[in-house]
Amino acid sequence: MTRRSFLPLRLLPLVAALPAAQAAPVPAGTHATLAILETTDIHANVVGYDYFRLADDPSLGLDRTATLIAQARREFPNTVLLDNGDTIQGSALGDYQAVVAPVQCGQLLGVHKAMKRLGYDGGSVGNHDFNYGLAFLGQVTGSRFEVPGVARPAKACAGPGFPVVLANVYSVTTHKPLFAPYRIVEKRVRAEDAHGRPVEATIKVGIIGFTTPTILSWDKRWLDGRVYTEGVVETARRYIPEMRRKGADVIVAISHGGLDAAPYSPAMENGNYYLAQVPGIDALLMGHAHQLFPNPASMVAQFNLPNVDKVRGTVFGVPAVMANLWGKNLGVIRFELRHDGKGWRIERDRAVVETRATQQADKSYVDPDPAVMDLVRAEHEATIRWVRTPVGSTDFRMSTYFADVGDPSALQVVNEAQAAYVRDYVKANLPQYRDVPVLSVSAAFKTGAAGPADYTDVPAGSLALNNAADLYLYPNALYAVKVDGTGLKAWLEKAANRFNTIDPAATGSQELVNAGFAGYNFDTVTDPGLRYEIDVTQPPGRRIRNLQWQGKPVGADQVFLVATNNYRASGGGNFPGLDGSRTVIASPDTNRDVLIAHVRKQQTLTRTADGSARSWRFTTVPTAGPVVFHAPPGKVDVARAAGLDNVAELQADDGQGKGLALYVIDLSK
Amino acid sequence: MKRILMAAMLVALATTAVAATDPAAALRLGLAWRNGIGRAADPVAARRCLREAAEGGEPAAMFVLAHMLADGEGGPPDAAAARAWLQEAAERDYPEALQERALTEPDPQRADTLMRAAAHALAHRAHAARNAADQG
Repeated sequence: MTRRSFLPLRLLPLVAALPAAQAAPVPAGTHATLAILETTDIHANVVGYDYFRLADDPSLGLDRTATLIAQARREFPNTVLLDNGDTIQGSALGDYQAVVAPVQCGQLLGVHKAMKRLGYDGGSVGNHDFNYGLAFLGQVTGSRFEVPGVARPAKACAGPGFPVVLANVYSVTTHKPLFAPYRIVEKRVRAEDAHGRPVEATIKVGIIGFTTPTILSWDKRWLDGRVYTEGVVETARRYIPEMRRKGADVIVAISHGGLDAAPYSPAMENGNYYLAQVPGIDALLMGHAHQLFPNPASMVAQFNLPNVDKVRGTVFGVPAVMANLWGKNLGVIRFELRHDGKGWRIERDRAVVETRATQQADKSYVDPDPAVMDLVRAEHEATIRWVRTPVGSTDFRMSTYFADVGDPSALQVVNEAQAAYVRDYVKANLPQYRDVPVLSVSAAFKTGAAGPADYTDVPAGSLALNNAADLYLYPNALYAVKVDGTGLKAWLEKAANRFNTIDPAATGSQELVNAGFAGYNFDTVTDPGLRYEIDVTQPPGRRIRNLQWQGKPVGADQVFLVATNNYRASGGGNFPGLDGSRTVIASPDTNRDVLIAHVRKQQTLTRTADGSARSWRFTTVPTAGPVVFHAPPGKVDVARAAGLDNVAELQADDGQGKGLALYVIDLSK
Repeated sequence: MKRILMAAMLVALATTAVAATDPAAALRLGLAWRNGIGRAADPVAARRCLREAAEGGEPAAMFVLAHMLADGEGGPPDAAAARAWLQEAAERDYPEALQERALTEPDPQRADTLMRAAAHALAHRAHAARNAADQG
């Protein structure tokens, strides 16, 4: 219905011919082409936009998938458009509409507005769609769940405009599926009779939904005691014969999951290897794994299993597709059907499975469908306003242009936030460590590898959520490790591999920074209580000197808790002793959220308190020749403001073609 | 890579003692050998235990083992095996492995996709942790 309202012109002649066609039985030999179109793991990426960089991102967004959908509809006379789930969560827009300013009962989510316009014929539910809880999921899908602890609405709220099916999640109250387990969608199609004359007919497309049974552990706090799951195989065996009895000509399993050849269990996350073996499934739409299938080049283990044809796109002979994520791709399963006078038969050997990308051969992207942005402009702009809402302010510019030579302006607030979090955590949960000093390390994540724009640079003024993303770029969680003095020194030594070994007697120019050691691995402390020197005239492993805590040399056995992130604590960068064995806090909170909470609490950051604690300096040494490094041109004032009096710009263009300048550092100062 | 892993699996299966090892226990033991926790450090023994744990499907072991193989710790360096284990850990949605692959991926768009996958995987871990905390 919905789709027709958007394609009135094309369907008019068909609609005129409808009554006669409906009444007459379909003559044997009638042939129709039907293309099943899949989107999956849209994750609330409605338009191609990165809400933290506040910039367009053409590599994602349903607005570009819409263009692929329109192309497919021009190409195929009959299409069925289905979504595999993980639809409503995963972008700032999704969070905004669920948590910050939740949509009201009568309103549609932005993603559903777009899907309604695109005329989806159906969809299922992914694990992340449960992330905001059952009340919200029920509201936005127009459902009235009967589950304990969730108020059943008097009437259903505005739904997504298409049927949502999910067969393997059950209410503990009713012991019935939470959603309609399946639907038989009666699709009017343009076909040809045995003589090649255009006719109209109906194909009954049965759609059945499955999700990862693992939702029960992932979203336990929302789901525990309210719903239970059933294995995909058991569920399919129950419903698929029923769907056939009710006349389904084609059965499409919309299963949010991937493939796993481990022995079958009803609780397994990716059960489609076994689902495909249940008789009666004509097409398998997959998702969840964020992969492309079919894909001859795929090295992914789940697509290199026996009976999985990654070239033709079949699993145990069943045509199967997975359309990647974020609307980057559209999955297409094309069926040729022939009516034998009793029913439609799929010509299995003529089925064609493919995925189509929004990114074209020349690396450019298809144009977005502007109607999608028109539909969601208000919520899109509201999300941007939310992301830009100040959470605090800074009286100094926080940048990483000179982080390699000692400017802590963009690092100290991160370290402060991390250390404060750990101190609070220890106080509340780990009394055995209450006398252990807490340090924090962090590194500049943006150090110019991609040119002058590839630096953190937050101007003085208000600080908003998107600034927090600039100050803490990576998706990390706060972890803390327990190390002794030897371990701390070894950590700092490894980080000091960021530098080349400088020969003070050399008269030629020497590069200070070892570009082979990434900036994000240059962990430093910015704590007034800790002091150390980095002696770049020494070889790697022998550079940390005068390591002192509170004015005294750090003892080999002196214990510290060091706040860092999951990547480092678990072995990222291969730092000595950091491989998970020393982790004492593995927080579910992201470093960025910890930073945001800290700024909210502090409200005002000042250079004096939050941007000038230089724990480390280079060991002073006169050098015969210049020691040089690279940074964007014209930034000497930034270095001066950070108290770095020993750097000067040598050449505005360093000649390496990235737009960086050559600076010199006087190590004798 | 698949061939390497298959071969590794076969070796694991051939040795009953190894196949019977609990991967989580092998990981703990491997880290103890590596860091000299409760014993003198022995990188060769560490590498052996971590390989057992990795072959048993423990992504944290795969991640550490990848680094040991890359750096030649506890045995000769093997860049191809290091990459294969990192890839295997990433395929199991181990956030740190996805992040490492993102950080070393030259194509910016692919790197971005991997980093988002890392974020996604990390959110799963956080979710599980919060659930455990709610229960606890």
